[in-house]
Amino acid sequence: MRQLINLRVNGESYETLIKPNNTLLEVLRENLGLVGTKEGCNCGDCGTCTVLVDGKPILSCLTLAKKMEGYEITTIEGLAEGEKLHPIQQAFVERGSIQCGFCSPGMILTGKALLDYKARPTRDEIKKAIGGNLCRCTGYVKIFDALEDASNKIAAE
Amino acid sequence: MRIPDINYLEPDNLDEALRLLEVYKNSVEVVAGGSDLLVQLKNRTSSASHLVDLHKIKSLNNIVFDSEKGLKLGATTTLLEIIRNEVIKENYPALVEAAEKVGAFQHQAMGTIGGNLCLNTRCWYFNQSARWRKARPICLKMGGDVCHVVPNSRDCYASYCGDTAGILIAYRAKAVVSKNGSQRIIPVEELFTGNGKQPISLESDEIITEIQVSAPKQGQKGVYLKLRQREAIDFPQVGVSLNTVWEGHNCIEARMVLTAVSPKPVIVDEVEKIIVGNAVDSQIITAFKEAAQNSGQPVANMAGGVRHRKKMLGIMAEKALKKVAP
Repeated sequence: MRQLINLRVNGESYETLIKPNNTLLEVLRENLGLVGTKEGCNCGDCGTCTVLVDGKPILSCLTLAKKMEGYEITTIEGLAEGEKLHPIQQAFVERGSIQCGFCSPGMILTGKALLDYKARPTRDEIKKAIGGNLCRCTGYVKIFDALEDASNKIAAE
Repeated sequence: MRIPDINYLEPDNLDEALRLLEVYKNSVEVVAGGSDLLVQLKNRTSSASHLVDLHKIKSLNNIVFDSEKGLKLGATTTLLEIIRNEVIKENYPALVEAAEKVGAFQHQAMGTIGGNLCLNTRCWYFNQSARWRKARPICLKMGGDVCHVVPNSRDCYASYCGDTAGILIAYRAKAVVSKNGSQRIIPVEELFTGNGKQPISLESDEIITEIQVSAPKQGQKGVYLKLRQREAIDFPQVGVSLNTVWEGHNCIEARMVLTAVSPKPVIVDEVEKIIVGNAVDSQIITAFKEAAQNSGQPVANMAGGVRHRKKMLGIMAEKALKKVAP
């Protein structure tokens, strides 16, 4: 039986009808039209579906939507302020860290979770933090570079 | 793969959760982080029709430390909360080491200490989608009569792959197990049956509510080593947990636990006889390696050759000993 839930996503409240077995990933994409969050493996092995919940990176494919009532959810759509990209997004663009772009939303949000916790992580700490986000295109080096750039920029602000 | 229709329940207090587990006994699963259970639901390797989610029960999420009484961890304390807790880092660094090796950042943010302990056993032939498994006879773990790993076996050889169990057992930690109307406290090692099909000894109306670790002793040193294919995401192919206490160069207490090489964590009993009362020398190291290698029986149910994993037991036991020895 469907039930009405209230989700806070990117600072806005959404009321939507869901079934108890709907995952957060399904509801973000299919109910709310926020298709920036991607489905990769659908079983928690790739990090593509990563969103932030109260600032922590979680796998939306393995999270029930109903469970998320009362939490603050941030998707990739919530990072930019109008036309102004978040420093991490800007760094990804400038460093060429995006090829097909499929891993990028999850990668950027995991990076944000790290930089929100630690202002200037070491390169090893960056590698460890995004270890759960797979990329088949870039070979990761430019992603590490972008996150280092972003951390320096954010720390300087 | 979609999760099947389920009755999803979110009690906001422990008594209500325990009452629901009693009401729906045998058709209910408990969920905290859900990073393993939801995959099982998608794969149809779990057939629960009710889920009791513990995330609203604040009393289960806490960290309390006393320098004399030790550490108490609420069962839904996340692995990330453990990793980032300065008191745990200082007093139980090997536990932090183990929690940091679980999955990746996301799994640590979602996963809980209780959930990690109660991880289901794993096997190549079990951890697959329903469609994949349909191509083969039903295995022992799924209620059939065939083991695809050990031919003609009557026992399930699925491996226990939780990362934090080994070091908690090495610390001689205890688990508080609660059901409606009662509570018991057991050594963590008694959570595990050794039966690959039903690896956790809890009844379906019981949950772990707390983990208790005694205060660290002077000269205590522990370590958790994990062999896995990649540096993140993967479950262990071999896990070696070692906790020791030293007076000068002499070891006065030691416990080593192996994971991923058996349906339950394996306490290597000979380790105490080999090392307690002694300093580390080449003879001790050789005996240590042999004891570890002889105690684990990896089978071909995961990536990584069986002979390689067996050999790594000894190599990792030596590495672990050298890391903790003064």
